[in-house]
Amino acid sequence: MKRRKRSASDRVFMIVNHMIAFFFLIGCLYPLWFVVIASVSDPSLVTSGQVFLWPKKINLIGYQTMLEQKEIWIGYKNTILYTAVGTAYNLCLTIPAAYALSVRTLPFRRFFNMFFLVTMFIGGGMIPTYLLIKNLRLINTFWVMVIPGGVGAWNLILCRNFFTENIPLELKDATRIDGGSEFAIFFRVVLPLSKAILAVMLLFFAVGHWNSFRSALLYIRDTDRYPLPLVLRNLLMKSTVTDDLSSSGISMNRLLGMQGLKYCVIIVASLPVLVLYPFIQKYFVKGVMVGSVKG
Amino acid sequence: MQLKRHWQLYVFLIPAVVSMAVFHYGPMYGLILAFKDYKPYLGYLGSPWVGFKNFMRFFQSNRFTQVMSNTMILSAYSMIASFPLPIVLAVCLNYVPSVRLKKTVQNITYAPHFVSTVVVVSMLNIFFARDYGLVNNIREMLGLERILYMGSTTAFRHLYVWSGVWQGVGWSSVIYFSSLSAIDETLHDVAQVDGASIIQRIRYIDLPMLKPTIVTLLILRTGDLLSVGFDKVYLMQNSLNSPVSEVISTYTYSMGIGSQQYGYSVAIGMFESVVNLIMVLTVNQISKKLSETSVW
Amino acid sequence: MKKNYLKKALSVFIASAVAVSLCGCSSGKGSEQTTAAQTEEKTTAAVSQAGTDAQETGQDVVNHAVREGFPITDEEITLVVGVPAVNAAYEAKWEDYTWIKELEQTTGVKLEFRVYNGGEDVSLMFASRDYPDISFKVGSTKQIQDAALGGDIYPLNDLIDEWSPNWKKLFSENDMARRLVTFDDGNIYSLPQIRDEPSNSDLRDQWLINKVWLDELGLDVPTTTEEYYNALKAFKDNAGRGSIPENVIPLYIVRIFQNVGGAMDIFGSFGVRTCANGTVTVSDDGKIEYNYASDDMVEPLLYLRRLFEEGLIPYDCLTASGENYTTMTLSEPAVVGSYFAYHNAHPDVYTAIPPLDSGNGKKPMIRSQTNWIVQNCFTIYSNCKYPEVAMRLADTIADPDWSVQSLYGTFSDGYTVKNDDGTYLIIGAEDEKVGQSAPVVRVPQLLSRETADKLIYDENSNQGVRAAAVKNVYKDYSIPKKNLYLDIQLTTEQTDRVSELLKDLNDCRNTTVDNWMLNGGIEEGWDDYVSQMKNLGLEEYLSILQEAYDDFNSK
Repeated sequence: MKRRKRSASDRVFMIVNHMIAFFFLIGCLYPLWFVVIASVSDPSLVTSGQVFLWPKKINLIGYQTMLEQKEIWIGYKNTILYTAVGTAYNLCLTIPAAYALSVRTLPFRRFFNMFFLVTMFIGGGMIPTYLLIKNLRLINTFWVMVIPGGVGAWNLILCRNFFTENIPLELKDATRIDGGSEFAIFFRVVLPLSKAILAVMLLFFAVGHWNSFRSALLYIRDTDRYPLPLVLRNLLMKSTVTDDLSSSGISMNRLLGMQGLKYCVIIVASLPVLVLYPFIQKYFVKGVMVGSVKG
Repeated sequence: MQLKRHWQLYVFLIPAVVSMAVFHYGPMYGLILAFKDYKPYLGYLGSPWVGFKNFMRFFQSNRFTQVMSNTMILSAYSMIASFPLPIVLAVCLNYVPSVRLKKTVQNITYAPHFVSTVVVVSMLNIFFARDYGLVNNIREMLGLERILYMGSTTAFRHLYVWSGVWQGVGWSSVIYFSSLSAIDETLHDVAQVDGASIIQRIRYIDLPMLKPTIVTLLILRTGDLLSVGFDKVYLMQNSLNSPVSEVISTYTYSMGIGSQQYGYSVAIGMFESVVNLIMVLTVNQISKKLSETSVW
Repeated sequence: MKKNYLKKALSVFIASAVAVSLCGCSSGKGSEQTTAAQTEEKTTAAVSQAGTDAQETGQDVVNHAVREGFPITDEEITLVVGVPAVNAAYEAKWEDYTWIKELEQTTGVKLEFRVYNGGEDVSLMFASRDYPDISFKVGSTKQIQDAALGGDIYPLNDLIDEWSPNWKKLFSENDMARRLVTFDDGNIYSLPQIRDEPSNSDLRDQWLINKVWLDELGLDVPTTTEEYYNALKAFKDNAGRGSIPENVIPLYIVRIFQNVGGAMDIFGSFGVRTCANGTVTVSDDGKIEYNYASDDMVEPLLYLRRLFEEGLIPYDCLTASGENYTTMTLSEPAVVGSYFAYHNAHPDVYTAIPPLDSGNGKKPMIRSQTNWIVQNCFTIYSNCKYPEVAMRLADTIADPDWSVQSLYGTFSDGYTVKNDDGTYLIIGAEDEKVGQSAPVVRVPQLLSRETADKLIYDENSNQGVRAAAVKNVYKDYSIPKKNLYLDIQLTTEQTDRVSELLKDLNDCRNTTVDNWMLNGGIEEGWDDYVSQMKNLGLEEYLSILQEAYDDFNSK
């Protein structure tokens, strides 16, 4: 009796649950589908709202224009490099620090927490930062995209929380009693148990680098070193008519062709980070902790 | 023994601290510009002090009240709308039995995060256009009047916020997925044996597990009260919706403050930071009292 | 034990905090001082060296600059040039332009480009005083004023006299240009860009109407506002017939007050003088006027409102972006009956009409442009070691051949041809690759009226069509130069105040007018609007500009 009732409520839950899942699915899917069909349709029809379910007047001018842009491919290469090196550097700096802050007996823990937190809200501003970077001779170098943003306070705090909440104290104590150093605890106990958060950190940092254009905008003057987002920004933001452009004799038809370009570049530019996610998901596996505790 | 352990922990900590000290705390001397009329050739120390003049100029400008309230309303609305949904999504998906469906939904909802602002605003323009937009076409079919959504003061905030939700929901749920995956599966098994319903399991197992993450993110999010990003608002702005769409960042931009009035722009930035910091500290204090969770 | 430990920890904390703050301060302060000192040293060194070289030797080579002929240096020199960003989609990278390559080859100067995207990076350049050697079109008047005060910029007067016959000639002939670029202290810190070309500056937008549809409907080209209204109405009423599509847009504009493609030329038809690239105009007796709050505006606003109300202009136009404008007006087949544009991209479909007669007895007019002169386009910074070479480079660019090629593409790429009689044939810039040939409007050209008169446009090219329209259709209507308010230099305080006032005034104007277009109520709301504009400081704004204008004229 009691049992049947329970499963009935669970059944209702499951129905509602699936509805919610489908709602999110469709809600997110349609605009994405729109990006895809807009990328191959005639731009005039797209902006005048005549394309909504299937592409119209299919053409690949947008993709063709994009393939011709060697700037995009240079940007692509740069961004991959910045992302790979930058993410590695971020992880090396952030993860150990997050672990240290998660140890409750650490002297001045509160102070260090504050120390990182404040940086999320207060900065010195562009000018002094620029002068600093200039004095470190980082302007216009590869490293300016990597070094200044070494630690992300937000990620650090998330990571620290995970360590505090999810790593059983007993485990660490066991290792300590066995004579293991903090290094040993970190590498042999904490890291293997934290694959989920490591995967998330990897994703967050990597996507952060992938989408970032601000440091490049401020510190990189050589277009051959531009990351992809900055190339795209210049491409998209400037594809509308300005006073300058309209009086410059640039072909208006060329400008028209540009309008479809933005949908194409979104697709091509986000592909690598889109395929990154399924790899990350692998680490969201349940029950990892149980096994290790028992073992 | 203790000391040795801590020495090792400090080895972990020092690189991060140094990096922050150099790149964040190092340039903080620049904040004195807020109290100066900065002239590049006079330098930081040589530029004349003006006291609180830069701040007063902002506080006393015609638009101050309007710009401040627009910023706070937009930011608060955005927070209220966008905060709970990723949690709902993550918890729901956690109970979807089909792994395939679960992964599909995760991957699809995650994708909008990578659509650039320019394209999002273009799509809004297309879908919500008055004379040929999809939404208005549907309205007409239902016998309703067509509305100029993009130029409407009432619609602006909804469009801004919900398009943001669309972009962010899957992305923000990633962190919750990861936290949920860390839950000890035996807890669920035991609960099931004891006859707990799914709702009860969510209530007593999942949510307590997510709580630290939720509270932390919420506290940090309140610290963005005055930081409304520039790009999207600027692209969506027009003279019809500007009474509600003018926020601090677009205001400073359109007056060329950032590019020419250094002291003034630092002062506005500093004001933002201080308000944000006060928010975080207060909310954290409240949270400490209520839920015994604190970010530091 | 515990106490001791705490104490120790505390001291570590304090020490580290002090270290951090010290490190912060010293790095900042130190860099500040060294930069200042270095620049000063360099400036004086370079100037004195240049001076002594010129005086003592009196030879043809001064600081590597050769006085006449090419190359302009006696050994290869590299100049770092700050330039605005280009759009990769239709323009080459700076170093890849044919024009730049040829310029480097001819002058013997290697150019190394530092690209600025505008906005923050430019302001950083000035705020941190991290300058290139020279710059093209980077920085505002205010930024240059400030930098000049700090001695970061070479005054150009003497350099022009000695090294640039082209600019010297221009400034001696064109007093207006000379006064515009001269700063309060009597120095010239930046060369402008001069493009005194009627086909560009005598008109902002052509007023285009779909001739094919007019012919199909048997209508004449409208000459009065009523006829125009009827033509638009006919377009709408005949939607779906002939080549007029179902979803026809009779008149397309991008918002009301947009410089490109807005509705301001409709005001001109009712005799209200408005200005492209600016807000105010100058009356015939030299008074600065802001016509958007004058009672003459009521009539055209009512007319516009009627067009909106009857669906002849879609309400979407009030929120349109440049993207909408481009795709709508260039759509093939045409969906737009009439619009305003710099170029007529489909002359076979659209024809240019003059401003319309409103019947209120005032002379119709159409906007012209102030951009025959654009300021702050060539600046030499004091860390440049070879200012003489830089000036000779500017002189080379100012040469008619180079200037024409920079705008319309190079001789070698076949976009322009120099005829034996000294005229230039402009083949046309419609070719997609012209953007790979020359930097167009981003370099300090000097296209004087004298040179402009020698340009012969291919009549099928966009610029050719425009030139013909300017000459045949708009000649009598375009607002004369004397009524335009040029970019007169203000003091830095005035600039700040003006930008504050202008922001408020423009916002109030735009929001009020757009709401009228959407909901009506112009006559009822007019007085409120005018008094609101007064409260927002319209008079103060005008008086600042008037003062600057009077000062300028008395110079």
